[in-house]
Amino acid sequence: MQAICRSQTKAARRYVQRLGAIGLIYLATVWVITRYVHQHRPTGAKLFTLAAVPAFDVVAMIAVVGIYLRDEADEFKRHEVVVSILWAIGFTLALMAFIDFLRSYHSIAAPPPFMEFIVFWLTMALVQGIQSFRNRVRADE
Amino acid sequence: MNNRLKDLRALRGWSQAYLAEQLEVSRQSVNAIETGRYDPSLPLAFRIARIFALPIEQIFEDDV
Repeated sequence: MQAICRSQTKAARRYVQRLGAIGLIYLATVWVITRYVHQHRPTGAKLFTLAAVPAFDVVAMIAVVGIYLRDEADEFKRHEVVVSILWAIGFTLALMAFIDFLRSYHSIAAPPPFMEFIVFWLTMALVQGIQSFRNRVRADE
Repeated sequence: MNNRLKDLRALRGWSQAYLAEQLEVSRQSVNAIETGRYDPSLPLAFRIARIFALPIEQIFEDDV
């Protein structure tokens, strides 16, 4: 994320703004729906509908990344984001597979809800930071 | 893929920032190509060749 913030491209600025906005909407949505479900204990179709709402925010965030990849003119910047996404997907799926295996043998309790969402975006931000550090440029020659 | 981007740029007295501006990419992109950490796409390689007014094979060489 920091790497993109430092970038001067219009596409990167729009990406950060959109991602930030949808991230806040996601947090607010999860908070509101969680509170509603705790208070009203909905069941059946209503519960399923409420559970689906935060998923739309996740789809929107992925769409924002897709729009960035479409609009970014600098192919090396696009390459950095794609690498970050692959690391984030790989790490998140590997972690989930590891946890699910342990859970299936009752060795550990269920992880906190929405953990995979946080792990994915944190991994993506971390990898982008590492790439930004590795690809930093010194004084021009 | 090897390339002579750094040498050619130095011959012309261009900075990375200047070349990046001409190519409409970031300085990180130019630096990554020069250091061999990133191989440009064919369209970008053609843009580079056009800016240096050289055939593409005089800038980029196959590893083989």
